[in-house]
This record gives sequence, structure tokens and C-alpha cells, in this order.
Amino acid sequence: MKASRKIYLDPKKAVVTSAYQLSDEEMAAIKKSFSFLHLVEIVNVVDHRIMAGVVIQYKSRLIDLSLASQLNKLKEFFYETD
Amino acid sequence: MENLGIDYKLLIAQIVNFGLFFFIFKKFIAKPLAEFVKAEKAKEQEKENIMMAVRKQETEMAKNEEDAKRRLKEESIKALKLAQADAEKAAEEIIKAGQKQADKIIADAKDEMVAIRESAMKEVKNKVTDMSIFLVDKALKGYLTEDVQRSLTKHILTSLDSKPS
Repeated sequence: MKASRKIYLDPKKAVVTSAYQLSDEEMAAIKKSFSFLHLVEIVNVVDHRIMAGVVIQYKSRLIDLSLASQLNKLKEFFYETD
Repeated sequence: MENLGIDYKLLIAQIVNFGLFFFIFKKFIAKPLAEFVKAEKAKEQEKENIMMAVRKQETEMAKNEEDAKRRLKEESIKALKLAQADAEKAAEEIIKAGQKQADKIIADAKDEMVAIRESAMKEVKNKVTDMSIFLVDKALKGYLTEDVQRSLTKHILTSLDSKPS
């Protein structure tokens, strides 16, 4: 993740983390969904801990669409519910 | 008279003698004796008066003493009643304070029990949540092949298309 941190600090690059290597179609679909990714280079980083989905990092922006984060949200929901 | 054995001379002498005796007796004996008797009587009377005064004084003193004893007894009873009332009041206040403290302790203990129960329930719930999430995580890791991961990712990205970026 240290390498990806250097990358996402670069304003010309965005990091898309996934549980497996994304295909070109998937990358294109991601670009299509987020307009700010049109003009930057996308670097795909594989991290099995996110289980499924993607995490997009660009500058100070972080979009977490991973299954792991959904599980964490579910866990927090259970914690907060009395 | 002589035949009767009465001697005039002797009679006169006896009369004179008696007169002299009466005069001397009256003059020198009867009067001082009467005065002495009178003085003695006066003394007796005075003694009697003094005795009466003393008796009267004694009676008064006894009465005063009785009164004082009665007053003392009354005051003692009054003071005792007052002290008893004060003691009862103090005891009542102590009991009230004790009751209040006991009620507070019970209420605090109940609150503490509720807090402990809630804390325990929360802890159990959190442990159940942790365990559930852990199990789901483990199950998913076993279930998530690359194909499933691709399918899920595709589903997530497709659902994004309907949302603004």
C-alpha cells in the first residue's frame, strides 16, 4: 500500500484497488462511472482484503465500494443499534 | 370562858402572834413567792410560746420541704418527659435519615445493576456481532472465487451507473 499511497498523492494518477486484477472492460466501466477519472491515469492495485468491489483513491478523495467496507458498515450498524 | 379552858391572854398573844406572822408572811414571804410563782408562770408561758413558735416553724419547714420535694419531683418529671420527647425526636430523625440512606443505596444499587446488565448485554451483543461478522467473513472468503468477485464487482459498478458520480 506504500506504493499506492505515493501514487494517489500524484495528481495525475488515481488508484483503483480491487481483490483481483481488473479487466480493461471493468476499468472502462469505472472510468465511465466517475467523471474525474477521465483525465488521469488509473493504476490498479490488488488487495485481497477488500474481498470484492473496488476502492478508488484520487488526491484526497476516497470512494470505498468494497465488500469489506460493507461488512464493516454492517458491523458498526450492529454496534450502534441498542 | 375560863371554864372552857380558854386563856384570854394566850388567845390575844396568839392572835397578835398570828397577826404578826400574817403581816410578816404577807410582807416578806407571800409577795415574793407570788412574784416568783408569777415569774415562773411567765417563763413557762414564754417557753410554751417559744415551743409553739418552734413547732410552727418546724411545721412550716416541713411543709416547705414537702413543697420543694414536690416541685423538684414535678420538675424532674417535666425534664424527663422533655428529654424523652427529645430522644424520641432524635431517634425518629436518625431512623428517617437511615431509611433515606438505605433507599438511596438501594436505588443506586438498582441503577448500578441496570447499568451492569446493559453493559453485559452490550458486550454480549458486540461479541455476537464480532462472531457473526467473523463467520460471514470466513464464509465469504471461502465462497468468493475470482468469478464471484468479478460478478459482485460488476454488480456494484452497474448499480453505480444509476447514481451521480
